[in-house]
Amino acid sequence: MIKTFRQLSAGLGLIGVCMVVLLLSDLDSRIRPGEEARREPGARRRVALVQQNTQTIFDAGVAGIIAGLAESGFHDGKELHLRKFNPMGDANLANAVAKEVTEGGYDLIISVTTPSLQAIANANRVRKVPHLFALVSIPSATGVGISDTDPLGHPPYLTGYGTRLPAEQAFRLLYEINPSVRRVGTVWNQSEPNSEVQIMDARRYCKSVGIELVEANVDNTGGVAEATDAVLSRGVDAFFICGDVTVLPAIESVLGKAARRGIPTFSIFPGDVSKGILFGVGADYFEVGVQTGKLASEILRGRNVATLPVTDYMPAKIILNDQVRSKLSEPNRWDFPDSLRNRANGIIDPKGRLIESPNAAAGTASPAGETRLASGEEEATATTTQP
Amino acid sequence: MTLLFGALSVGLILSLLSLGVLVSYRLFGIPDITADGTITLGASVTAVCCMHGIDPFVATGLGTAAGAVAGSLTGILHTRFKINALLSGILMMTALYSVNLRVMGSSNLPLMQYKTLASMGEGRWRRLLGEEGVLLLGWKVSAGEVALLIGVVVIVALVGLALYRFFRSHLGIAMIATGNNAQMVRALGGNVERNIVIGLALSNGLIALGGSLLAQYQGFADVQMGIGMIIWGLASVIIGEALTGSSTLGMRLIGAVIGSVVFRLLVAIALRWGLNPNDLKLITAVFVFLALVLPAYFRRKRRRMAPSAPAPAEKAEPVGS
Amino acid sequence: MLQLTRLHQTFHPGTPSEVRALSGLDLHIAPGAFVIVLGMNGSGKSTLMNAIAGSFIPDEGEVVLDRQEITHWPEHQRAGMIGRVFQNPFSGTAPDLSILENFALASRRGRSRGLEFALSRTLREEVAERVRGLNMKLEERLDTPIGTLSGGQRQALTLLMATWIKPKLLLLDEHTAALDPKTAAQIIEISCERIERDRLTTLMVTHSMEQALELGDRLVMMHRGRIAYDFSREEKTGLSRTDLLRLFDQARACD
Repeated sequence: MIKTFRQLSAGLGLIGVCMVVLLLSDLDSRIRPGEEARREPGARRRVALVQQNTQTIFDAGVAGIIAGLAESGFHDGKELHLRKFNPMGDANLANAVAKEVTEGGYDLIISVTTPSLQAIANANRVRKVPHLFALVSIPSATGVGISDTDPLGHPPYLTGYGTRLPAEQAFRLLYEINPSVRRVGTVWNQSEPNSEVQIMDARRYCKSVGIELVEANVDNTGGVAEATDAVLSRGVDAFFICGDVTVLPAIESVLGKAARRGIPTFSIFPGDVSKGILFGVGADYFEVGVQTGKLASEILRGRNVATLPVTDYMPAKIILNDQVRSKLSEPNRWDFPDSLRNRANGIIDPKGRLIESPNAAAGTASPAGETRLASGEEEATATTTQP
Repeated sequence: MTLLFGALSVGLILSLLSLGVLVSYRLFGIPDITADGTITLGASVTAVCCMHGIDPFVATGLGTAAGAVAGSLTGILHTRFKINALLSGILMMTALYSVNLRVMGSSNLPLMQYKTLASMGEGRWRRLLGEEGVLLLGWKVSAGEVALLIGVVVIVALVGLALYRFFRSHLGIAMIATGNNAQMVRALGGNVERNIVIGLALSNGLIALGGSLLAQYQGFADVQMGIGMIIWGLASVIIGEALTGSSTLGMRLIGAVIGSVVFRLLVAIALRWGLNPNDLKLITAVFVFLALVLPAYFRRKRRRMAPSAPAPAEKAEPVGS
Repeated sequence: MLQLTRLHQTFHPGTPSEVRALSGLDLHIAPGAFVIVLGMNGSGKSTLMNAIAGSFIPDEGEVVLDRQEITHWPEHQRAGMIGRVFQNPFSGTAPDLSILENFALASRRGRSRGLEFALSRTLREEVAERVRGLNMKLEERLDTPIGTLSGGQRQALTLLMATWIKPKLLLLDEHTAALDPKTAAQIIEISCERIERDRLTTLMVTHSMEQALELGDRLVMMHRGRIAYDFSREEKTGLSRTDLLRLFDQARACD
């Protein structure tokens, strides 16, 4: 018996030491009877900023948040103590981070991406630290208690910006460029909820203007090439590349096939337009971040989170590609109207060089579903509800 | 205090992973990469079942069984088709990624609104302790946290005892011997191939149970949640061995659990004390490296000081490696 | 008890490292016989053992044990009838398991292994009893991992384990070759005692001419995968070491 204890002593001892260390670091949150934690008015605000992984989109969002906070008077190191967390996609670390940010005495948690939102929301059910999320495409589908019909239907300590992938806007632009388009093809994976929403939006819009949407489904990246061939051979005027994680790895093959038949492609990733896509309209995630940062500053100044609606904010960024246009089988059908050229954030010239325009991607945030495109084109879209 | 409860809870849940890795790696000498896929399989099967209103105990059981099936397939690949053990694990893990996607129907399944073991436990303890929770040494702890920790302690204790009893049965002893000296087992009438399949089924069943509990604890199942898990498992086993030694079976089992808990505690401390989160993964790797290298170093120093014991016998390699 | 008919085995056929290990070997062993197999390296004696034990299935020929044809049986299936002690003293025991656990394994040779508790008191007492007979004081260390014991001790235990359940055939595969002379003598003593007591049919391979002359009631000399000479007990008694050497030279000269 004694021998057993001696063998276990090292391990149990280490656990004991660690426990004590953790508890000691947590002394601030101890409640002495009758006392409540009070915040002095002039004290530096503590904010935790969590992104799930390192990726261009997420980094842009985070940079935007920091810029937005600064613009509103909260600078890290001065009015603000900002701590960034990045679990690099590891689920265990993400959980540990979620526990830490909800227990670490922060005044506000800002999270970027859906997995971060979920982990933190789950860990936050007890402490209910104010939590602001961004870069989540469909907040009501994340299972954290956000309503899909009522913008104020959310836990009183949780709110944020959804950024719906702009499938409908992409089709609108397509129609704007070429009103004679009749058939559009696309390939997507039915198991991807993000893709499902995009295709639903696309279908709805196409029906309203009389475009036939020719779809093919794939289960895995290997089947994309065949499915693309099948769709293209059915005689489509254009091909839509939606944001589907199964299709995207095969994007080069899709573009190649479309190019060989002279059929234009369009997508919701402006960043990929230089690969050979006719145009792309996507979210400017930096701008989303800025808006989030500004909202964060309001919360830090005392705005009650329960009164803030969950809104969809999709500041559109448009990139056009003249080089691709010149190589189409019927380039004249695909002339970019001047109004579009003026609105675009960047145009790739016939030599393949990207010329950026000073147009900042702008859009005003609006309650669940109404999004407006950049300056001048105020098309009130019907409130898009969840399918 | 809640951070502590969380670290202890997750540490205990993941100790099921370390126990599984202990069985496959230490007892059979097979580094079984299937683990990355199995932990997600346990989570996904349980999540889908809970979503459809199946009793959480049954759901957890189904998740565990699925893991056992996956493990036996790895075993069959290795023993029947003579595929190298490491490769068999990788094959299964790759296949399981698609299987998990199919099972869940999407890449992420939130569980917070469904009845799970976690919600059941929280409900019961909330009735016991009241909405406000308890005051532990001056810290407020919610009923939910208490429920989860106690529940996990009970489950791990039961599993540990069951494993201990199993490895003192004839079949269990034959299985340890298979990993130790396959030639001897054959000469004594044991079916080495069958033992390996059973062993991997057991190992992956444990891991799947861990995945199932983890999903219910964290409130969602994600198809990527298993990636890199076997490293955590291996690290915990090795830390445990460094702390409790590997003299008897009981010590090894307890060691795996202690190792997992210590590891999670250290991660929590690192996060709390301002470690740059981007460096966390690198630090984990360095940590595992130290845990692998230091025990051997200390053993050598000890041997130089004490009269030498005979060198450990070679272990006969199982089929195919 | 054991009948080997026209056994042929070639390893790595058609390659530069091709080896004709057994070329048409015939051997009949009566129940209760104690046969010594003597041969130089490369004579095929280890292959013979492996063929009987089932480590491989011979290219040609038959293996019949106690009137059952076991030529195509896998090793673990034959193990119920065969007790085996290897040349390597570390091959017969599991180093991480205790003495008691090793014997628990041995006690189920040829029988199914299920979830029953293996380390009962009855087993412990029986093991202690039999191990005491070795006079190595091992009965006090039944719970220590076998890996901490010396080669000689482990070989002695392997012998006990191989004969725990009386085997139809006992295979001793140069089982003292890796031990020092004193321990080797001890092991031989224990082996003979067991063989006599249980009247075990035994096949013992050795390259020690001393053992070949002193032990057993039949001497078989192998050369190049076949049996070159076969001496019964009477014929054996007359032989000396020089005789054996001369026989080997003769066999080599015939190649």
